[in-house]
Amino acid sequence: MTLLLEFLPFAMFLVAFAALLRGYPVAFTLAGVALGFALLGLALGLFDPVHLRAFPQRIYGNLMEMDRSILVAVPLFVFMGVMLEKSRIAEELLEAMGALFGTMRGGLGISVIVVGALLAASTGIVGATVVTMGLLSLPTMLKRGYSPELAAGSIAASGTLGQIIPPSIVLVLLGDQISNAYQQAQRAQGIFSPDIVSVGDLFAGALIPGMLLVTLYILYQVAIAIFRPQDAPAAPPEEGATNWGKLLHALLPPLALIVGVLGSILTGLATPTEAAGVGAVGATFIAGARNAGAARNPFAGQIVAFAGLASLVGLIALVVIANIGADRRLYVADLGPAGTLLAFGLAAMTLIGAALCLVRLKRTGVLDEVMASTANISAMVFVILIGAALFSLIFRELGGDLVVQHALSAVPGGKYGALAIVMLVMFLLGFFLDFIEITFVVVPIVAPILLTMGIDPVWLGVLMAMNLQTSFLTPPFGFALFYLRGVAPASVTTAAIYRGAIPFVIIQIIAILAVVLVPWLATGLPEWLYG
Amino acid sequence: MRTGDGLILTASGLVIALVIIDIATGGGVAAWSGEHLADQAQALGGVLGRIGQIGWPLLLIPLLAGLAGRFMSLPAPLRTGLRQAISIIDRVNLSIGGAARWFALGLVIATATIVIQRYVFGYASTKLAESVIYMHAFLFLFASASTLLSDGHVRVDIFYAKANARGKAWTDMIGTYLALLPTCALILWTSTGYMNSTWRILERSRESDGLPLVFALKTAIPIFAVLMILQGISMASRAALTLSGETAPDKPANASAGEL
Repeated sequence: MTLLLEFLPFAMFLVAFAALLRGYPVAFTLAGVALGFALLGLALGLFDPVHLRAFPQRIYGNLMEMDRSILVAVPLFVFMGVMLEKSRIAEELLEAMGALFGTMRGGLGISVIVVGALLAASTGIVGATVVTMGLLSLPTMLKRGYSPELAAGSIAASGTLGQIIPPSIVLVLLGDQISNAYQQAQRAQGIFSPDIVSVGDLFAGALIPGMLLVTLYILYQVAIAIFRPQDAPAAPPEEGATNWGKLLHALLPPLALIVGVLGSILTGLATPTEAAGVGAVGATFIAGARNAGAARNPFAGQIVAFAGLASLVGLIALVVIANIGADRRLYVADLGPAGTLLAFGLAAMTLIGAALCLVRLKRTGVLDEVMASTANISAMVFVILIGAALFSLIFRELGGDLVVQHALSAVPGGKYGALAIVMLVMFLLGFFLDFIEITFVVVPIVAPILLTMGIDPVWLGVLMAMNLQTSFLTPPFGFALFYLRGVAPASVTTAAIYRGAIPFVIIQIIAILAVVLVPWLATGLPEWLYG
Repeated sequence: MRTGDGLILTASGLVIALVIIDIATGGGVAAWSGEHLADQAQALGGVLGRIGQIGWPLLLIPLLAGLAGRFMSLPAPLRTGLRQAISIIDRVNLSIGGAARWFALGLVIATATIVIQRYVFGYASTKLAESVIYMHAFLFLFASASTLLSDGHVRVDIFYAKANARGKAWTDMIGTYLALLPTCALILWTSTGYMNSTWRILERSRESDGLPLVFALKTAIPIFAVLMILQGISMASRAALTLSGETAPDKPANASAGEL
């Protein structure tokens, strides 16, 4: 009987894994397997059906209560990302950066990495980034004589940066789960005024490792250009005519958005949800000013969109100015009647500009596409959360967390050994499962145990995020490689894509080891910012 | 105008009309609902529950049709019936999903408004803050069924993508009956007591100046389950047609899946 007790949770995991491979939507497969094991547990007298009775309450508490408003950041960031994607920023950026760097050896590769990093910070949607760059940059790089391996690897790798460079949806969901786990771990230890770790902490923690990855990727491009110049040739100089106006037109909007959104989160001025909401409006202005989706861009509409955008920036500037050097939070009303009038004027202008942009985008159909993608992705993410909640509930009731705890404490090497095992399992799962399932199923089970062992929550979160990102890139099942295969020309063989990804996987492992050995890389910035 | 635009306009119009009537009659709507809504809802809930108890065997038709279709050709009325069910369910869920996607825009506008109110004017509205959570919940709960239709619910497609039409149909059929329907049935079954307690007191926000509509928000959970059951039936009917050697009707073209 005790053997069975120990075995049941493992069997549940294995069956879930096998069932997932069958290919039915993940959210319901997880829930269905959980229900099957609930029945089995019921028959064996190991499970009390009363635990199922509160399931709707659990859905409500997990997803729909006021204190869960951090989750609203997910649809808002998706809205922002899809909107930017539709405004064809990526295309322009690639063209402008290619002209800037292309005449150097390895320049196109560097420009792909830089654009990937910019898109990672502004849109954060891996699939879209890989597909766009695969369609635009891959043919250019091949035409210039880049080796297919290097070109494909660079594109797939820089696409996955979207997961690690904040603000990213992975970090929002992971941060939320880790924050819950951390509270649970401290409560279990009898700490009743627990430390809190927030999504903002994780954003700050992931920033330096993300930059480290970008730097390493670029150094790799430089090294190739020096030691294997035939793999990364320069473009003929007559194509290097950098059009600075075009470059600024492509570069300024995403940069401003990144600085605004990330800056307000990291400085603690706004919550991630608030920043994402303003970011989504900013992206709407950018798309509206470019009249995304339409062939022509009438001047009048462009002017109103820019005026609205300028007013929004003005409002933000007003808030910042009002609070410079202030001990307490000041509002515009404190600036006197002139300030209030100015604020009302700017707010009205923002409103008019936004309304006009929305009308333009609705007419071209872009708004419909953005809303539909946002709705689909939200449904996909949060319905998995519902299924995973049922799975974790029954797994726990069958004694699964005790089994996992015993297994992890039996690993030699203490907390580092346990961490290593968890990382390895997550990495392997990452071949088959999306980061969402892993975050919702594995993290709630293992994170409280690891955190109780005394592992720093931000460090753990950043390592998990880097780990998942790596498995996105690792042959043969990495998702980024699939996305790229879907759009790469037939002349780029699948084997070439795999070979090209391997150096970047090695870079990833080096970066993960660096963060393991020097935890400061992850914990330094949040500590410095939030004390 | 796209699918669902009309529905969301009608729904918003209704809400606005109710609010106007409420203001015009000095709280008439609120008074009426305080007095009668709980009873009416109780009665309606009883009827719906009865329909579910009696009607659930109908849900087995696609499964039986799929199993029978392997050995014989399906009778014509059954085939037309399945096709009609698919077309009706798809249309209903596309409209609802099309209406729900507007909540995505609503979220953006409401969040931005909150930020400007709070940081520029130093003013916070609990009602607006709560409406963000409501729209967030309605967005994913009501868009979920149309997401299933457009295949936006992520699958592990290492094997699924390579399977032929029959293999895919088997996966869809088995998954619907072993995973989707039981999960939604669990939600519905456990919702009865939950709905009773929240509608009886017409549960309000815990904040005194919040939205008095928590019962409506919670009701979205069983509605989600019903919509998913319907869409599951549509999926299983498609699978049944494929398994019996027919060509299943095409999915509507305007359903676009998102990728992360």
